[in-house]
Amino acid sequence: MSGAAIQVRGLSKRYGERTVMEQLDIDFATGQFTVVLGPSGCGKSTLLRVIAGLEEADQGTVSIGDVDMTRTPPQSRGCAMVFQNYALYPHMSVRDNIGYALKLAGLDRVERERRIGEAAELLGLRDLLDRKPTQLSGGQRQRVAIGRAIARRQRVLLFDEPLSNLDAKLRHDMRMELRRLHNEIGATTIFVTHDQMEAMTLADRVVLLNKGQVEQAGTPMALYHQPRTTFVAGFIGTPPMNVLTAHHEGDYATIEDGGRLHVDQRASQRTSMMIGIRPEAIALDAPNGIIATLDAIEDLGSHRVIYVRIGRQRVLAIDHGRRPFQPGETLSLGFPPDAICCFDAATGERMARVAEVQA
Amino acid sequence: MKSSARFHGRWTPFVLGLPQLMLIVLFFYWPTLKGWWWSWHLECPFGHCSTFVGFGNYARELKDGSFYASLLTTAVFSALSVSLSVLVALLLAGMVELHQRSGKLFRNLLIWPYAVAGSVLGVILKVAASPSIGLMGYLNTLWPGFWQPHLSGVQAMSMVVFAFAWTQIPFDFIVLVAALRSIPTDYMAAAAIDGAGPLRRFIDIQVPMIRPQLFFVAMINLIDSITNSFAIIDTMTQGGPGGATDILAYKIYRDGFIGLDLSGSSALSMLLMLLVLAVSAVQFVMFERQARREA
Repeated sequence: MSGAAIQVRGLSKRYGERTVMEQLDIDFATGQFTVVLGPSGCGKSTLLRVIAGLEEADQGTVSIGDVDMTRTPPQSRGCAMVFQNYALYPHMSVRDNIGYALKLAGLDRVERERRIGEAAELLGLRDLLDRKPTQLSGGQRQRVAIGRAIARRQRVLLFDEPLSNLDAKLRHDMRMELRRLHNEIGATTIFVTHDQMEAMTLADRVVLLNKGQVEQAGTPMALYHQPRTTFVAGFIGTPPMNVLTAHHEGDYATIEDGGRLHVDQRASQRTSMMIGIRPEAIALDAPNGIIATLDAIEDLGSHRVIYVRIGRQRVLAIDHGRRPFQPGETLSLGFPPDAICCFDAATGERMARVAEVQA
Repeated sequence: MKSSARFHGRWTPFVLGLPQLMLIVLFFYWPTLKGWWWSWHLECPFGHCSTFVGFGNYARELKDGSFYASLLTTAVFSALSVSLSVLVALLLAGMVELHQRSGKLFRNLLIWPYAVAGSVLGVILKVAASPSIGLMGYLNTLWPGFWQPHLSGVQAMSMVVFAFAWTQIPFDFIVLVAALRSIPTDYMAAAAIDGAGPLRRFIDIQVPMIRPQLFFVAMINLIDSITNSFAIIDTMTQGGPGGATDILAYKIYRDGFIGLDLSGSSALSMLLMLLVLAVSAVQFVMFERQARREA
């Protein structure tokens, strides 16, 4: 089974007075696993439902596989979808739930049974086929919902926060399984979530939405290491990137009460900027570093999260060492130059490095 | 701390409940007891003498062929009118649910007939279905003898079935609209994604999911059709022609008030009550079972 490319153009959607999205353009490449990520209310579920045809856009077009489907009813779009609360038909057995779409598609009994069997095999549902949804656990229901979506072998698979009702362990297992399934099936997949961890682990490409606009789209690593804005920096990562206000003069940024940093950033008219740095990039014992006061330590076993203050600004660092720390201690932090992101203080957008500009 | 209002007097609740209690006792329990009493006695037509006969009245009714004829008529009438009212109400509810834009208006319009009394509706429909005037009169001039509910038992039965279903549809409709509305929209969305159009969704998802409510309205209709159809029959056919619409509730009235066989008709009432009790018992058992399945 192969996928189909999806193009969304000029999409606008309002609910009464509230504008959810305005003139949104997004492309989803054939066979790619795209995670649409964003805080609640950013319009990500609406986007998914518009693509599925469950909601009508006020403006804009949706095309699937180069066919304009803006006015096509959901049953004719060739999409399959997994809902957040699974929406398994309560009066049908697992077999009938998975087979319903196949029956509607006009497949004969033999072919239907074969496909149901395949999906059940893939998801480990073979012993549950005759049960009703109420007799299943949350994780099993989730599998049935996925089975129902993949059995019909549609070109497009849509997931609406499918893992948010599962406990942490199950969620982890399902993530691995979904990735494996995608590699086997190859349908164009759109996965909506507010969990950046799911985005990082599942996606070929992440689209981060904020207030109905694309904040950044790219590979998970691109969003992680080169956030386009301070919003992306603060949304991706656990804990997220530290963003500090600094004073900018020439090649240097001065963090109040902390010290001076060399930044690869010149020719700016502005005198204030934002400095972004990942917690794990911060060195805790650097000679002549930024002066910080240690507030608290969280020991997670594998690593420690160190809460420090530079002047009045809170910074998180991750430490893998074993050195004992005392709250109130003064630390000298090292910010490696290539780990520093500089953001425009006014727009929140990342400024290109000198090296990037010259290249 | 002061909770909700409390009455301290021991008799206050009884005094407050008295008007309702009196109504129930006077118009429900008293006649029932009286009927129970009469069904074991042979009563003179004007109530001035009374002889205990034991099962005599029951034996007489149960040996009478007209009882079984009336029972069969009741079964036919109930089955047809219940099916018709539930089916029409289901279709209307489904259509209202499909077109939600003006759904509210239609919902209100369709609930109104519920406020019309059975006898009023009976008179209206009798005029509407009159073989000599209106639409039916016109059809009779085109095809003489086409519509003769006063002669044809089948036509008379279909007329009262139609009329009685008409009185039941609004209630069924309200219940079914509420039932359809309570189905989470995600099921419908999932079915649409699975490739089901509106009609398939209705048949495969909506109707099975409101089965408990369908059963509920069918049961209510069934009990109503046994006990509450008197007004329609009395205004439209008076049990005729030739007993074709002589359902039990009407036979009781006819035997008692026209035939002045108070004892026989009391025995019949008791039998009818037994029938309704049986239907109610079935309903309770089914609801109980369903509640247990859902729990």
